[in-house]
Amino acid sequence: MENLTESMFYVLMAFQEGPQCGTDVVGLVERHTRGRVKLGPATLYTILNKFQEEGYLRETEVEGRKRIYALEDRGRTAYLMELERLEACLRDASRAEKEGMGHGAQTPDPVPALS
Amino acid sequence: MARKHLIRFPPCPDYDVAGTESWLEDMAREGWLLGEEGFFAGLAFFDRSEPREMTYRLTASLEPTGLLSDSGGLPDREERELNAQFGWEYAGTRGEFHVYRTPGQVSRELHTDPAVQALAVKKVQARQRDSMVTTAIWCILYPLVRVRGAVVHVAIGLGLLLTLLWVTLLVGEVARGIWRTVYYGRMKARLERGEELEHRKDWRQAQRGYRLRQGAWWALIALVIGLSIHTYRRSEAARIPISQDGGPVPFATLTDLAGGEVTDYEPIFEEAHTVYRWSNALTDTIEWHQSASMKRPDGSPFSGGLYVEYHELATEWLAEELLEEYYRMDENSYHSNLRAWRDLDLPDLGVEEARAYMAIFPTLLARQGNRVMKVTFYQTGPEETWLTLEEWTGRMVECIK
Repeated sequence: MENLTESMFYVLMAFQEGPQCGTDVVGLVERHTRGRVKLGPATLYTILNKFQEEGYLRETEVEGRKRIYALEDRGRTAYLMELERLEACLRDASRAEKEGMGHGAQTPDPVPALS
Repeated sequence: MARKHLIRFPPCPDYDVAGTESWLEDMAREGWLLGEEGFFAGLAFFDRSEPREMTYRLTASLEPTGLLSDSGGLPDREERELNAQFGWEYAGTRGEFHVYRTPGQVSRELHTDPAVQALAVKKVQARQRDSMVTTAIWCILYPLVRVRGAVVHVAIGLGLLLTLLWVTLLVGEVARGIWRTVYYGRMKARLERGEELEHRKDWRQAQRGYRLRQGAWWALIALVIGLSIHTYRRSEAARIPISQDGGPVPFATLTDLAGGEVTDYEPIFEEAHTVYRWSNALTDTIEWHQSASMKRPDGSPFSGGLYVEYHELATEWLAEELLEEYYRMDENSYHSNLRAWRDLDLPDLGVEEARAYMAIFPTLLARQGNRVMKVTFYQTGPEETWLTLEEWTGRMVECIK
């Protein structure tokens, strides 16, 4: 699978806390992102479907009308790899900013004062 | 009394997501909600309700939506319940899309990540591509195999108009599949670029064109089926016993091969003692099936069968192709049975093309200009009285020289 999208990443993050049903995942993603990422139900369903196909998740049990999914090793690996990639991106950005400052690179124009 | 139910032809194709959503929302404003039957057989079924603001969304189905699919065309229970928890009620399925609705404005969209939505559309596109390949096999490859590549033979049987209509229908069906595949591909590409699908659209702008196209397409299907049935019935009615046919034939008959003034003439199989004359823009044809026993003028017995397909075609090219097809068809049919197939040496018959072979019975193919004949002739009775290949083929080709 190619890079995970933001939604996919947060769904995998939600499963780090243990097996979940779809509704729990939506709640966890909102909690982890402090409400910034609100998963649409069709988006979540598509992701769960895709992750099962990829072997990232497996359905473990059905509780009444809820299906519970658990993270598989492949899913954990994909999450960690994405985390590493994002951390590398942050490190790169941070380093580039420091280097840019040191070489007298253009700094953003100051925000004009409000009249 | 006010109507409680309403049936409508949708004004846009099933793959037009924005068009379908906007149309359903306008219907809700007029007091018509998509009913329990939803979409069926190309129609939309509505129930009367209070006029209200309703938001509809179509989501690409991850699984096949056909009635014969495992899901019976319904979305998965988990999908329905997840969506229901956020206020989206399942309302039906149209084509490869499930239809959901929520009263008023949207509190949370069904899809919030275009790249993920693209994954669902990708599945729809893949199914459409498979369906297109299947359609191409059934509409183009299968007919060609079925007629063993004898396109000219079939075309002259159908006539020019019906042939063109069939070709238009079959190629059109494949083209429709290609168009859908391309359409889904564009939809997927748009989502992969991070752009959301359009949700508001003036469906009225395109409805006239869509309805005209749909009407023309169904009219074409009806015309092709109707004309095909008519042509078949006419051909069956035109196949009559030789005794009821008063017209002359240009070629030698079994009686002529027996010497002319025969006696004690008895058809061997009445059902194989027929003549069928037909004409269209591509050909004037006589199919002659004659099997009989008789006595020659000298009193010697003569019996056998003569099957002639005589064509005067619209062009010489058609005649050349038809001759080739006749040979290829028989070769394909009989060549695997080596005992039944054998090329026969022919003397110069004085026509542009002539070949003979044994395909269970001796068969002659001959062409002169735009005239083609296929003759199968067998003789029974004492072998010493049989006509030689040179004798009967020479006699048969006289009519096309």
